[in-house]
Amino acid sequence: MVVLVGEMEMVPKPRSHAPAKKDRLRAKRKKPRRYWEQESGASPGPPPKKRSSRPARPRSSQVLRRSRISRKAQVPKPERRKPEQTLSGAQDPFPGPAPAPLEVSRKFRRIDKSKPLPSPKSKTRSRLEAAEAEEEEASVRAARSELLLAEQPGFLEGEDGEDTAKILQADIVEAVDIASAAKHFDLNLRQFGPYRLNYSRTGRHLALGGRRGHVAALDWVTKQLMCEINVMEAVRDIQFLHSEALLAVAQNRWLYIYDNQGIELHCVRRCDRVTRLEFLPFHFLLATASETGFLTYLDVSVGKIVAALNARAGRLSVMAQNPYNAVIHLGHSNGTVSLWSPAVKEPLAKILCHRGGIRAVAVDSTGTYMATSGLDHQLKIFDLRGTYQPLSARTLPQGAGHLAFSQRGLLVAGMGDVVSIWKGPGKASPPSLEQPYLTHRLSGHVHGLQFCPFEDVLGVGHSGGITSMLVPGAAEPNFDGLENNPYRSRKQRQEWEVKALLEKIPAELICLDPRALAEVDVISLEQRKKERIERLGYDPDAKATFQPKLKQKGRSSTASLVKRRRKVLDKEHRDKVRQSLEEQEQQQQQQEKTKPPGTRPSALDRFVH
Amino acid sequence: MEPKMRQDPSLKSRAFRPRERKQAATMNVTRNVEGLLALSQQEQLVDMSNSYPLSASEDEEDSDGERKCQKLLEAISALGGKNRWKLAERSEASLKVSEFSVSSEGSGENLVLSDLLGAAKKLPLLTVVKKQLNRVRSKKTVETPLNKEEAERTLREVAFSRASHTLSKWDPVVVKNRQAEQLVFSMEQEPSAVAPLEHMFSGWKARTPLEQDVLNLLHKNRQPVTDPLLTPVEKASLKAMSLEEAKIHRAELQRARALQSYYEARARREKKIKSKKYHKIVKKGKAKKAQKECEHLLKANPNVALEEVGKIEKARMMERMSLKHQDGGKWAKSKAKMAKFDPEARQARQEQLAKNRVLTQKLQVPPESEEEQECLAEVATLFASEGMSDLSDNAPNPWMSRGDKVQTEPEQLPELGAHEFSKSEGDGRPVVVEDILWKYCEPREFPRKRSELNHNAKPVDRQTDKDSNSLKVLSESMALSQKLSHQPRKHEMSSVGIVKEKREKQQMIDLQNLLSIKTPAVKSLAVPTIEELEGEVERDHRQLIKEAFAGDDVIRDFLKDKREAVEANEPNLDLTLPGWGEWVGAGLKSSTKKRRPLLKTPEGSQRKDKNLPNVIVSEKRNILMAGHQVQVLPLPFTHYQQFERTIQNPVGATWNTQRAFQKLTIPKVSTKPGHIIKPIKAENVGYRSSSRSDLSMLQSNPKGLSRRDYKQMRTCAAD
Repeated sequence: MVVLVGEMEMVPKPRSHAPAKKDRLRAKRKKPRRYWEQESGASPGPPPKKRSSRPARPRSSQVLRRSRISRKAQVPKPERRKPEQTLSGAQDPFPGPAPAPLEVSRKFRRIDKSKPLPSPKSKTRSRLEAAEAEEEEASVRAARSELLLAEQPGFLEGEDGEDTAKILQADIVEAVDIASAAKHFDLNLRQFGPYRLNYSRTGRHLALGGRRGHVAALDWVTKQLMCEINVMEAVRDIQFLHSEALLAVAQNRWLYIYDNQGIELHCVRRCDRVTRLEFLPFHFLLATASETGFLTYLDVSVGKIVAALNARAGRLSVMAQNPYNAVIHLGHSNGTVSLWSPAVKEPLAKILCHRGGIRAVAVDSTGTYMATSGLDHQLKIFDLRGTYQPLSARTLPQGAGHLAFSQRGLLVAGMGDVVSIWKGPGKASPPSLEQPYLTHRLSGHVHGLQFCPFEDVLGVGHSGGITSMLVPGAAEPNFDGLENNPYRSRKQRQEWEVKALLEKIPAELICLDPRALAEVDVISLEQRKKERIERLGYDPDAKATFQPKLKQKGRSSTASLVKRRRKVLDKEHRDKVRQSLEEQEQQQQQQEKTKPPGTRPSALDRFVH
Repeated sequence: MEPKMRQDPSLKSRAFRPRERKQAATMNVTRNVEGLLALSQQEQLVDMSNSYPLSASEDEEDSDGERKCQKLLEAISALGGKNRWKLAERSEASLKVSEFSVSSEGSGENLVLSDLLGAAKKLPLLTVVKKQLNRVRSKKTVETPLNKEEAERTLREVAFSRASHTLSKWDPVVVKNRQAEQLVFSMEQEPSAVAPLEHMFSGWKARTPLEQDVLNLLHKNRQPVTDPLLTPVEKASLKAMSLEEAKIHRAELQRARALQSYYEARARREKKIKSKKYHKIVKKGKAKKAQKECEHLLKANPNVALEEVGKIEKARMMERMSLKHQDGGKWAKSKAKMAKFDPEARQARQEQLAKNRVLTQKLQVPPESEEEQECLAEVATLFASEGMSDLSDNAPNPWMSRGDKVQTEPEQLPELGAHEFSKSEGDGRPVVVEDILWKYCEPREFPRKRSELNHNAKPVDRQTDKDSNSLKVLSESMALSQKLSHQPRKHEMSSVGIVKEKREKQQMIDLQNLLSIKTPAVKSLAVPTIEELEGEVERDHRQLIKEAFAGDDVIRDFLKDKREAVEANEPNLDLTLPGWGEWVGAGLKSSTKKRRPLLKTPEGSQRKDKNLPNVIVSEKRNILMAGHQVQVLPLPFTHYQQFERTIQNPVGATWNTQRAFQKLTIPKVSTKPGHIIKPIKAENVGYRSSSRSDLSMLQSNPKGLSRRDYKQMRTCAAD
């Protein structure tokens, strides 16, 4: 199993007379850090880049002994503990508990300790402490399991003063190993017009849909064709559903679903004139934006339409999903981007981004940054963490018609027949728009863009067909084998499908803050409390405010104080109950009064009682 | 009981001869003593021999003589005739005549045991009685028994306290079990089945060739196979230590131990010293020493010294964080009071203040090298727009590093913008708003960067030139591309002129052309400087865009939307009553003052987008989502924030490692199928014996315990 991501291996030049290009192109390569090596001492080169923010599950079960976080992980220890002598004379080369660096474990911390907490009672405190201990242990374990992420990401680096944007695909292809070089290819499909494309979640399969009805799905790594049909209708968009076995195609009139043999499974007539498709994998929702201005959510696990929301902004042709919180971003012609959830009928937020209409929207994998491009030829990056303010902007000569983020935060923009890629200085930072990282010219106008997950490959659909280009450092080098395994067998896929369905998240839970589920619904809590107080006639949780006065001559003994306090409390309680009873009576009387008398009162009524 | 004894009447009525009298006295004494014993040892005997020195018998003798004498005199006088009546008459019926025809003379006196014993001293027969009497004296009195209810109550109390004591032994067990992550039943722990290797080896023989090989190898290396632990080499080495060596070793150890104890004693002594001055001096001395060492280190080992310096810096930070050197402490206040009169106090206070000044002084952190500066600038530009500048941790605090030279305009700008925005909203002049909003939408420049630019003007000029060039190219290319949209390739070819064809692959990637034409020169528009904004180029560009989108006024629409959204959420109550306090009639408007809404929205519920002009955030509550949230606080929690903390850590396998997941989802109780769960026993939890037995003993024999026993039991319970 070899994933050629990030680190592309150099192949010695086959031709000796060729100019030495090897030096020019130097992929940043680092020695993989082992867990017994100290962080600061081991690598003389640049500081190690942060790796994935997501805790990947360890693929092999490794026994980890429990230990506290080693707070001095950064300081190189001069000597280790003396290894114990065993019976056979063998020594444990790594005595003591496995170290867990504090910073890495901090990344996995979930409890926000900055929030002030009302001082808890002892019983509560013990529960809180237990929860915190659990969190710490879980985070340490996650941090320690990061050493199982064997692959290291890296970027293309030019020599001194050399611009990486000037490096051609041909150069890259020449420099990398054969397997990686095979990932760069062109499909020359001029007949069926501009192509949209979509990679499956594992990054193994590619679906492409030409405007003039050409639909195909293939295993792009082995170049094995799964199906190829012509639907004899305009194809607007194409999207894999949760696995590569199902394929949604937005055709001229309706939305169709095909299987991987090209057999039509469904025609969804509720979704008509769909322009864009997005699939939310954890919710099993297919979001469709239509010409009629409706955003429709289709639950593909049960085949029901969850919500059809009217955006009230005319034709919808720009859509992106936020992978962090599954919120759908729609771009409108009035320069705004609106954020949608199926649970709410109105947009969660509306951001004015451009002076002209929005042409493309993309959200990065951490849900922190949104890139937009508008008709005013601007490309902007917005911060999505509550402020929605632009972080950087750049005017492009033609304006970007298509945008996409890679897993590691690279931004690609398709402008006419050119794609430019920008990268940020670090993992958590937005791409800096000053200098493109790579550029590439295609044989036709760009119509669809997507970075392939877990492969350093960018797929571009254009009017001349499909181009798969190499972008070093684009994708996450380590995949989670239980979640997205590119090498999974059919059986494994089926098992994963069952598990994923069991873990399906309800559509109502989509909101701006995905951690809202871990919060208490304060409003209903207060409401319930109020109701309870009304029912009881008094507040059982209210504090006793009465403080008895101190008296002299032994009349202020503890017992008498308690007695006096009790007396006052009882009196208040009685008063309250009496009051509430009186109120009830009054209400009843009023009701009786307001009731129209059924029969006329007779003179003999007075004898009834 | 009364401590007095009446005298026997027989003693007084008749006179005896001395011997007879003595016998009678002894008889009386024995009777008395028996009576005393019969009174069930309750009597308190008081020794009163000192107050009544005369013995009883002599006293009696005197009074008898007098009485006889008086009787004789009376008899004589009665012979006279007249006073005959008087004889039969009793003049006094009071104290002197007792019920038992005994005179109560001397009734105020007590009989004292010692008197009786003194009398009995000479008689050897009475030794038994004496002994008994002595025993009586030594014993204390016994109180009256309690009545039944009280006795039962005390019994119950004692039983309860004992029972609760015996049960309280289980409290820690109960608490532990309640707090335990998992309870495993049944509780009987099987003895750990880890047998030593040697036991396992005893009945084992090498059969397969591999095993034999291994065994041979072990034998060859003289590794222990059956009888354990020490190889011959190890044994030999153990034996090798001679007696002298051992002695020396022991002496060393002793010395070390003694030194340690001296040191400890000294430290303990020094710790007890309460003199502040002493401690101050010690501290100063230490600081000096540390400084010296640091200087020394700086020469010898700069790396370690750097660490030391870091430590000192940290100590300084800690000092800064503490409020020790502020003016508000108790000591400082007292010194401030005394400063008028006491020069020493004044001095101390000034020292304190000086130290405070030194501590609170801001440190200037000049960036060390150019590279770093560049790096910082880069970071700064990343967070160039407002609100993000404070996120850059690595950069030194801009508020601290910036001198007075740099103007504070850019910082004030956002607030200013917001202010103007709100004002203009009231006026309804969208043009100004538009400009401001537009400024707001543009990414702003970081002050640091600009100062840098000001310092070296040349690069700026070049940059601007470049920018203007690029923009010209841009507009041209745009115009051209509109014309030649169907032949973009040709256009490039013509504009560039020279195309080198190095390889065939270059057809696909015509990067040189692309860079020279399409993408403008770098560093131009990402961070526009303010001068450029004012410049003509920018204005041209804006003009162009404005012309392009002349039809749709995006910003006005957006503002209208926002206003509607805000108003929809506000309680829109018109509380004006037309005509009240005003002129009425057609065409008259009520004054603006009255139209102002009286109801104000509560201050806590501010809109999230209040300070974000380009955003409308929906304030609508997601009810469907709320259905999935927790709505009732579970019991030990009193505040929802406390509970939230316990549920923030995700439990699922998606977010945790396998081990952590297993640990988080461990079942609360685990049982073995087919095993009987027996009640908990003392042995299971580490107690020696069942404490239940004490309780059972108490219950089986609740009665027959004296009060003293209760007391003992109570003290036991208290222990």
